[in-house]
Amino acid sequence: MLTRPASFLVLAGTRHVFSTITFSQAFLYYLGVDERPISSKGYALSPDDELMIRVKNGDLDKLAILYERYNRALFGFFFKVTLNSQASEDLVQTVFFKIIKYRNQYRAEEGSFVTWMFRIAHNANIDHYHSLERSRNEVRIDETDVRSDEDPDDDFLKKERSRRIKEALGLLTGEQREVLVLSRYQGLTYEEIAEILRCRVGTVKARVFRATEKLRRVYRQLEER
Amino acid sequence: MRKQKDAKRLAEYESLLRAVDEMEVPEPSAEMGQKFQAMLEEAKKARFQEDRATVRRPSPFFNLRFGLLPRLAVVLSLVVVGWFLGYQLTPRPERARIDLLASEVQEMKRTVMLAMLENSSAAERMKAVQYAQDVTEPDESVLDALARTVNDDPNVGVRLMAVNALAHYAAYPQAREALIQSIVWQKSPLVQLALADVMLALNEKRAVEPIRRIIASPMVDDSVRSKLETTVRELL
Repeated sequence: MLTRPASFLVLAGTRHVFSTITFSQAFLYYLGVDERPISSKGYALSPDDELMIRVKNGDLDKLAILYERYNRALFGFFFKVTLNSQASEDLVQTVFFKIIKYRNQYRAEEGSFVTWMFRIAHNANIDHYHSLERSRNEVRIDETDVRSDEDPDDDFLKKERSRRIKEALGLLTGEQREVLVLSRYQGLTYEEIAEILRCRVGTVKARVFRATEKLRRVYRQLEER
Repeated sequence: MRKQKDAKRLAEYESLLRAVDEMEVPEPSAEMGQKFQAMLEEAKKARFQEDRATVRRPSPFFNLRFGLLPRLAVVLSLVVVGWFLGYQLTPRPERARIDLLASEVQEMKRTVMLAMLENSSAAERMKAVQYAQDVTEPDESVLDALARTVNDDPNVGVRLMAVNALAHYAAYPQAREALIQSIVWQKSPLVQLALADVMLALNEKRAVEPIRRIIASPMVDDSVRSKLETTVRELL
């Protein structure tokens, strides 16, 4: 049994023999995203799905539980996509507002709650970028100071790295940041990401690869500066 | 060489993606949670009011003022009233024509009957009496013809049928009168008995006198006499 990096190298190495295997495919295999459950369709309902069904049936208090579970994850997602904490807070608010408003449209049999929630988040993102375009504002990167109790030297390095990765992310398009962050979100399969973005699985994979590659190039340029 | 390059790229990817994963994300403000709570409370209130509205308004179908059911009822009744009025007010020439034809048929039957009563064949005259019974509104000529048949027809069968035909029209005073007067006139015991039965059925007390006159007559058969006596007793 080969370890994952070893399998990657084997696959990447054989791409000259088997032209069907590309570097990106080998990379995605390495990420192991394809090994996650294919889809929530046909699976038993998750506790989140059951909570959402109760919200749909009128028990709105159950939404507070879902909020407690997902507000940080959503905030993190929006922060990495918009790089702005105030906008992220507003977008989290928008997502939960839309969950309440469109609760009757939730169909547990068509996908998990998380997929549905991220689809709403994706649409909120699109609206956010449209409004930015209308007001002709650039993406404003937050210089939020994050407190830490760790060693000051370690803290400095971490902060520096975090600042640079944030800067690099800021040079990607909103779409690239979104697909990259979604692909890093635990529990989402490529099929589910394709459902969220309303595109084909192949397209999602290609976008993830392109976004990672661009991030690498941009980050390197920032380092060399 | 290429393998090394790929491995290096992979290492770079891995490190970058980890950096994205570990990227410092600030804590959302407490305000975000408060805003959510306020929004949730608002939604719950809206839902509560929605529920109350639903309870107060049972169903638009049964709403007396604007519901579908009363509207349907109004539409249906208008259709029925419209149809009825239309039926009543529309002149129907075919109906008038049918009425005319019916009266013509009656008239023809009457004429044929009167003509047939003059026929020499007893069977034909019987048919004529039969026709006379079919006339819905017999005029004087029909009742007169039947009375003459009861009194004068040479055939007993025809006379008996004529008695029945006149009894059929007992509601007409002229028919009743003809029957009473015919009692003394009759020679045939069969017709006498038939007349007595008709009088009894009609409870015609004016027939008592003529029947007594028959009883008093020496020509009368004994069985007929006793039957007539019974009739008189019952009539009185």
